Amino acid sequence: MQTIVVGLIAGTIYALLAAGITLVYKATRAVNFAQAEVGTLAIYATWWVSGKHGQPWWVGALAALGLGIAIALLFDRLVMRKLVTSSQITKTVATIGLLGLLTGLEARWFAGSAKIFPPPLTHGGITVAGVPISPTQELAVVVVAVVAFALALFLRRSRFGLAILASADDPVAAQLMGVPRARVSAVTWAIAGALSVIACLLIEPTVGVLSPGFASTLFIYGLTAALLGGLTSLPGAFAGGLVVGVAQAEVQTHLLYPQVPGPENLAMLVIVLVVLLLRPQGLLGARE
Amino acid sequence: MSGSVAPPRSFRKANIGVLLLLSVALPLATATAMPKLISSANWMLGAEAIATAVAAVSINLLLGYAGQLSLGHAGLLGAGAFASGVITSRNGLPFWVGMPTALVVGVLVALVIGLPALRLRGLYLGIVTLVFGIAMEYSVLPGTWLSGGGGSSGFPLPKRVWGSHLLTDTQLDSGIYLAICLVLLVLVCVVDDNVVRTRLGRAMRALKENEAVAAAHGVNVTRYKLLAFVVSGGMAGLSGAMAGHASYSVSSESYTLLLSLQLLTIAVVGGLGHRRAVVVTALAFQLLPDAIGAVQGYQYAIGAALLLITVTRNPNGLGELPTLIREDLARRRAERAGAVDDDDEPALPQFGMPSVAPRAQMYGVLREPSARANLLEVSDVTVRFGGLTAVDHAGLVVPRGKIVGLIGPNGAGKSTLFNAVSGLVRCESGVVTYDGQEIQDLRADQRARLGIARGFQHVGLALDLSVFDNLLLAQHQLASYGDGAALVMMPSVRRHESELRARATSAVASLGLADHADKPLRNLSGGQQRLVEMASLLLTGPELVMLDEPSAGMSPGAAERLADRLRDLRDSLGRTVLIIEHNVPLVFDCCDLVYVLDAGAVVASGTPAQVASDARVVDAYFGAQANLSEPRPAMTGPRSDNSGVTT
Repeated sequence: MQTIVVGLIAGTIYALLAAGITLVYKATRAVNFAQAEVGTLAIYATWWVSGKHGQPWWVGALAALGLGIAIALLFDRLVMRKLVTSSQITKTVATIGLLGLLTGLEARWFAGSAKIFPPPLTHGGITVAGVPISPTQELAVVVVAVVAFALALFLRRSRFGLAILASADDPVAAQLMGVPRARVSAVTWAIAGALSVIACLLIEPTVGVLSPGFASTLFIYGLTAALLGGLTSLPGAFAGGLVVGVAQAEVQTHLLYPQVPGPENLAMLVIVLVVLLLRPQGLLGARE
Repeated sequence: MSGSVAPPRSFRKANIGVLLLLSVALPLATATAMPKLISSANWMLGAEAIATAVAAVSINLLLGYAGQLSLGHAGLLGAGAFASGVITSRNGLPFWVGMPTALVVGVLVALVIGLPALRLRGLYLGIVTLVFGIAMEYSVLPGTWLSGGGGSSGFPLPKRVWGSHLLTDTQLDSGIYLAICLVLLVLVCVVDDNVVRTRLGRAMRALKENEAVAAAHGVNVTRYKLLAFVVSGGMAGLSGAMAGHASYSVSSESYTLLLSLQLLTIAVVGGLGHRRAVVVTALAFQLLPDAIGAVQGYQYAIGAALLLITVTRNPNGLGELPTLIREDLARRRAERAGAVDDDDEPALPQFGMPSVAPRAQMYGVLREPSARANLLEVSDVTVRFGGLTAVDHAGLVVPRGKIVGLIGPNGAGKSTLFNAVSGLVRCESGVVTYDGQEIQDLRADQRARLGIARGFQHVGLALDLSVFDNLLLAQHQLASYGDGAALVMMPSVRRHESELRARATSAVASLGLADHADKPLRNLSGGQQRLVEMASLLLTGPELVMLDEPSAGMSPGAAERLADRLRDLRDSLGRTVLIIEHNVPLVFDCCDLVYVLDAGAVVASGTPAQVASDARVVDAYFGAQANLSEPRPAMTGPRSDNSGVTT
């Protein structure tokens, strides 16, 4: 029971990453391999502000949010906008370039010592059905619920959100209907950047330390969740996140062998291979 | 670059021989002649750089030719290095046993993780390999079960030659190892070159551009994507062992995501598809940061920045620079000579074809005709896309040796029915029989192999490939050599290839396109592309030729001649023809049998005369009120007034 609850909570955070991957995939048909790395570099700002200079956590979190959105917007402006007519593979290679750039900078600047900064909340933990929930986990659930609700509201109810969805569906038709393509692209990337930062901020207290490899395993959970959801479905991404979270927690708890560190990574590989073999359209994705 | 025009064989052989000789001679000569100048530590860096070049070549093969992403190549390198470690360190075998083992392990791992992803179209290989690479980095390679206990995971990798004899750190021994690495690099490049020169490379480059087109030419798309990944995986495994033995040890910490990213960066910056440029870039990436102290530590970030610049500014990479410079120089020379020739495009060639006799030979001899009167029978076929029924219980019969037309308004389901026959969509129900064999469950490439050639509404060729390569691609199914034999360029492969080339050459000549043979098809006019498509369909010696709107994009004159060409196909070459065509006069002119499709169902069929007088056809084309047999007053009235002729 405890494993499942812990897994579900972690899963909501992976769902945020998966949602970012899905959103970008819908909009550009590219897999954004830098989805977790943007947030990782950005929350070094939280470390700098809150950890090094002793400001409150939320100040550092806002700084990270700003930095993450700025990185995403710059990438959209300088790179993706030049690749509008390029192939899916070229756009994806570009996101790999962003991943390499961010990873390379982190490795150069922050390798060696892991960074630590204070958790967002220190007291206020509760117990649900006999399972203790830490204050950080509570925060994660609340934030993810709010973000998911806001995202759904924005995409389904606002004019601009609908423009994004329409543009993802058929970019040419949307443009002919007067949807401003450049702004849609910028907003999409900004949302993806923000989702990345929020996910990294929420998972950081669980990981405990911030080091250059921080995003690698985190990203494969998000990517597996997005694939499980079908790559094109936002509800699917959230469902996939929860499945991945539970699977990861179960494997980490029950399949512990001293010879194999991190069996959950192998579990992700198995999930990905099984999904591709049995249900490539994922849980809720559309069949191509 | 495109490898479409092969240099003479003797030249190529000599080339490889010289390279191999230099690979052995240079390091050894340097090691003995200048022992003080070059330290063995530098030799080791050199050997590692060469191993990186091998890995970059493997990425180039996968991404540059087949268009498939791998973000887990570090995992494959690690698998190779650890495999060689188990062989040489734990079992005490020589390193020249360990290296081939590493290659085999790379092949097997690639097979297992590649198959599920490559059955599908899309970026799935990138996703699987990323997860694989992370799993290798964090879970498999650090596991103590591999290294057999101890704290951190790694192996010593001795360069054991035989028994207790080892290659050590002396100048000469380091030189020998460097020579071995160079020879391996040359061999890997030769294999890569063999891929480019045979049907393997053509199939890969075609499917990279358009999987449906490749399949229509008989390419088993999954097979060639998998082949690209498996060959790439083998090279990667070998590269891992090469680098590991160079530094005498491997550690699980070497095979990171950053390494995978760097290999990808090298291939893209060097120029996808430009092998030599990729090798040079790999050596530069590996050796320059050590030489330039200032970039120490920033090499990954700089590499990634170069990758982004390449993707946005110069997508073909550094490898294209020599071509660009050469073209620029040639233009300047021409300007200086005063002969500025802006009119690059020569006059359009005539539509003419040589006489029938050489053509029948060129386009392959028909298989022994069977006695069946009907070559193709489609009965009760239904195709649905979600809620839309595109083809609704349609049926038609194509008699052997006839020209059959399929007409109908836009959206009637004509092309979908073509797709159902050629295997590009699945029939929900119904039976498709070709020459007595039920084919509705076969893949597109299998149907192509039976003798069904299918053209597309938009030219069904690989537009990025040259005219010549397209005509070679068209003969994919005729290239009756094994893919394994092609990798090592067996003599039989060479012989088959030269036959295919001869046929393609004569086809190019007969089309009057000899001057354009090496141009990408994209650069030709629509009519020229149609010509090449027709030739490529016929090169496979098909019995059933399916053409989807062959007159589209043709000039009116050319469209008129099309009827003669279709009759020529039937009468002189003995083919059976099934065409979709909007040009109704053309259809009525040359078809023996016409089917009319409306809303997915066959509404009329018969001879052109029967169909023309069928009320339902008139209804489908012109609406219920129209009547073709009596001229409408509104049309005849004014005309008779104007011309003064009374009816």
